[in-house]
Amino acid sequence: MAETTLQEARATGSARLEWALVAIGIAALIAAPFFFYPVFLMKMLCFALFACAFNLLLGYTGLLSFGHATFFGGAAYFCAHAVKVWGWPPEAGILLGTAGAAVLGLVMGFFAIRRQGIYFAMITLALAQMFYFFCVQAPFTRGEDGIQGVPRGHLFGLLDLSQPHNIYYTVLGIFLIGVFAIWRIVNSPFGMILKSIRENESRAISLGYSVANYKLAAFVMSATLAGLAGATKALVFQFATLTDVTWQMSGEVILMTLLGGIGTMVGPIVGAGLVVTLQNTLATSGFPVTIATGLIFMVCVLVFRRGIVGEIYARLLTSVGTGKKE
Amino acid sequence: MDLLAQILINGILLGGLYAVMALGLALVWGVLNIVNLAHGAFIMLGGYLSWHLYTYLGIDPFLGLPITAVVMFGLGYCLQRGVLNLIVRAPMFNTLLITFGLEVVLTYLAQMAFSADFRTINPSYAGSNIALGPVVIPMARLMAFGVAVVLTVGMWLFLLHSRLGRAIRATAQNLVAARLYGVEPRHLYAMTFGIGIGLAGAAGGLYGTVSQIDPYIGATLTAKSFAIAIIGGLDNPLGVLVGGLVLGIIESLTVLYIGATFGDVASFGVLVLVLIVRPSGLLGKTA
Amino acid sequence: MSNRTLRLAGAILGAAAILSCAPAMAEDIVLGASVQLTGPVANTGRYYRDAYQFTIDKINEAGGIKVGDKQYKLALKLYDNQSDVNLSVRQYTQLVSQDKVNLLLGPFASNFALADSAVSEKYQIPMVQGGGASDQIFSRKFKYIFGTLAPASNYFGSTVSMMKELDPKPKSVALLYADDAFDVSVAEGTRPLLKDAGFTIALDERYTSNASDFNSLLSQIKNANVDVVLVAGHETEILNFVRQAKSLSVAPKFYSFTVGVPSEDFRKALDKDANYAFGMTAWLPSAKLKDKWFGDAETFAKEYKAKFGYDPDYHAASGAADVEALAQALENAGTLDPKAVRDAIAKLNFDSLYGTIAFGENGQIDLAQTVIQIQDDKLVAVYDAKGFVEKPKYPMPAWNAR
Repeated sequence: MAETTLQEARATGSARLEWALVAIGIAALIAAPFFFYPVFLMKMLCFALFACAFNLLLGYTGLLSFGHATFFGGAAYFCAHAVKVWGWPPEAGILLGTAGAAVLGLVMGFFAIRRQGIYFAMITLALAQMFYFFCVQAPFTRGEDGIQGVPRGHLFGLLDLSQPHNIYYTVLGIFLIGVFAIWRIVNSPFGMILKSIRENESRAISLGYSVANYKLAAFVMSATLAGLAGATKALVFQFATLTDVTWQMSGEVILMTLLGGIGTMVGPIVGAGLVVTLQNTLATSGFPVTIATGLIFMVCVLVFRRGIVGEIYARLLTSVGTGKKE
Repeated sequence: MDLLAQILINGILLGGLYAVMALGLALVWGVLNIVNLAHGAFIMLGGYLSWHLYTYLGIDPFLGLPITAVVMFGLGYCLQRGVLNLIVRAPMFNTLLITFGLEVVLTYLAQMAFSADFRTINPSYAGSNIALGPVVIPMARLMAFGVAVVLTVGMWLFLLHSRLGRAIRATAQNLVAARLYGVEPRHLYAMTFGIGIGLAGAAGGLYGTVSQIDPYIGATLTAKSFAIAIIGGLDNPLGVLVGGLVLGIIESLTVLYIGATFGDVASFGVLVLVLIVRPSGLLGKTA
Repeated sequence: MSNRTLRLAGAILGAAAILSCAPAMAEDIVLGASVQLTGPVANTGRYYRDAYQFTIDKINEAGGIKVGDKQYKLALKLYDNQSDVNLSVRQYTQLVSQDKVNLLLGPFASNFALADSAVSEKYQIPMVQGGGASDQIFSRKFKYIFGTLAPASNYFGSTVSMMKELDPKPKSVALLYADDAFDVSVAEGTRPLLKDAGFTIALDERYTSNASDFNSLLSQIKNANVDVVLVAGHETEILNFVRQAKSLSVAPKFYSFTVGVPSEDFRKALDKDANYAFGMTAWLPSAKLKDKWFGDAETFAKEYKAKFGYDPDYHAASGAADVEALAQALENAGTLDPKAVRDAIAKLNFDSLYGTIAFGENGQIDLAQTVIQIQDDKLVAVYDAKGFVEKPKYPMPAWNAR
């Protein structure tokens, strides 16, 4: 009994703190383009959303996908093609990209959810590689060159997205909508069932949930949101290339999420921010980038086993716990 | 008909090479539950080691294989004891992260130490071949294939009959029970990892004689080894050999009948099929 | 806790800001570039890094350049794109929008140049690049991209002309090419050349970049018994191709490769097996190519080798020519204004260690390819625009008859 009240008290306390932090975070993001290079910030936001979408699957459902680049890069291609070749407005391009990612997610998920653990990861990887191959061969992706010079256009025919601040706030809006959607999903009854599947799948089955359907739904949602991030990225950088669908991209999002901490809302955002910042600063500093990234990953795994944010949460909880007991 | 025979031979020989590449990965994965993303990087290091032995000391790459394997074994043993033991019971994600980090670091160090130049191990017989009527069998590949078979069967016998091998298998199946029988897991893990890396080193030496080595070959080789290990199954080294052969033959036939760009698609197609139909591999125990 | 996270994030962002805002030195004209220093193509990327730096140092030693009535030194701002196209686009964007470099030098490889030229076009900063030859780069009517490599579609042009004059004349040809921008361009350009010259294309195969197993393709070549094999690919694939050809006893009368043959690395890796391989280069270190800063191409090659420890090939010469083109155009324009410099580049016509630098309407230089062959471990020029230079060793003997 005492334990639960303590937890509840802690929960309300930390919830208030979290809300305050979220408000500060949003305020910081609104002010950020006046201090930092907007393209860099937008890249961070796109990858943060990508990582959050990935985390929906890994952190809250316990499924490690090794093929999320398919949704990110696929959506980027669809969006870029629609906007550039068909002359669609940007919002329609993003919608198409997102919808395309959802379809891809449905197909990949259909095959993948039949297996668990590393085998699940392997099916997603293999299917993602096949999609990569499709992108290399399909004429609309223009092979190695990718779709270049995608116009940003006018959002809803009004807002000129070629202006740095306009596009930044649009991307920020998309990011916030995406993260909010994930937060809603995670904290809905549906999200609870996902977590119960993660904790104990056979228990969830015995309780009468059709686990396969829930997993597939989670997979498609994660794919859709990853697609949203990818389509937005295509508009920000004005190109879609093969790099976005390679397995390295799938690997990158895994790293971001793990580095930040799986199963937390903030973790993937911090992870993405950290990785993107590292890449950018190191890539332009003359310092050997690759070795630094490699070493940082190794150290992070050894020091922060639950990811940076996960570890901080855990430490905080134990310290609060012991503090109350004393 | 001659062409088909030749292509099949090519595929089988390629499959043998694939099998050695995947052998160590499958062992480490099966026993330690570490999916070693740095596996290809260790193959690359083994290749460089063989290349140095051949170029500077004049040691034949095939005779040098034991040296390479032993040195790499030592490296693997130390790495496991020093770094990887910290995460051996950690979730799979963490092992992925750390081995990925390791791969990046090894690749970078290799470029610093050896430059990005291509290195080939080119003994006089590397280009020679045996002609069986219209079919030509490349010497180096045949020898590599022989080594592959010896190593695979050797591993199989070792796991089945030696004390250490049995201890390794016991640990893979049930750590607690193995402990009760006096198995010291840390030493055993390090031995296993060392053997896995030693096998990777040997594979690198073979790879250098039929292809060339540069610091960046690791990632592709890891991916290939992965696919082979899954197709063959993790329980049994003979499965890896079967996996390698299946993949080698399928890739060669795809190039012949469908087109040279479709080799990878074919191998991933097989991978998906195996994962869906027989997830524990062709020779694995059915789930 | 999350305070700590925030502080951490703040510190990182701060560090990022400081690092990315490092000011360029005053009174220097800064040339920006992103090149492959690590990653799978680092092997060729280094030619550009070294050539750029070498040429800039050389020009500065000579007192720099005079723009209008002011004397300037050149400086290089170079990033490593890790052989990643996306990263290189970001770095070029950073170079023009954040680092405010004056002019741009190119990356290596067509797919990079193709992507990165979109940045130079968008910001209207001229880029002279010596690493991308694909015709696609220059067919988009871009105004700010110039290239000093000969057009990809014509890489095999001189080779096909020479094949017509060989005795006995070869009949059937196998054309293999990798699936990237440059090599696809090469194949598309070579096909009509072969048809017009009356050769039959017995095998026309596209393969995956970085393929390491050519046994199946080689067996097909052997089976079709073709006279000539033309391969457009990357150095690593070509090394595999040659070694596996030997191990399968596949010896066509003639084979030629788009890359590798001119580089020292290739000959070292293959040793004696490199003999008889044909290739092409638009540049040879000849004393006949006079240069304002280096004297001539031979001196350039000598000094380059002394400084970096390896022989330059056409990539290096092309990179050096890019720097010279920008320097010359700046002097001609008499201003740092990018638009004026762009117009001056378009009008350039001067002799350099690389040959005459004059860009066509589309921004690409037109240099004839010299056919080269490795004969007795040495690189020999065998055929150029004027005909045979040296007798080619043809037909290639069987592997066991060497």
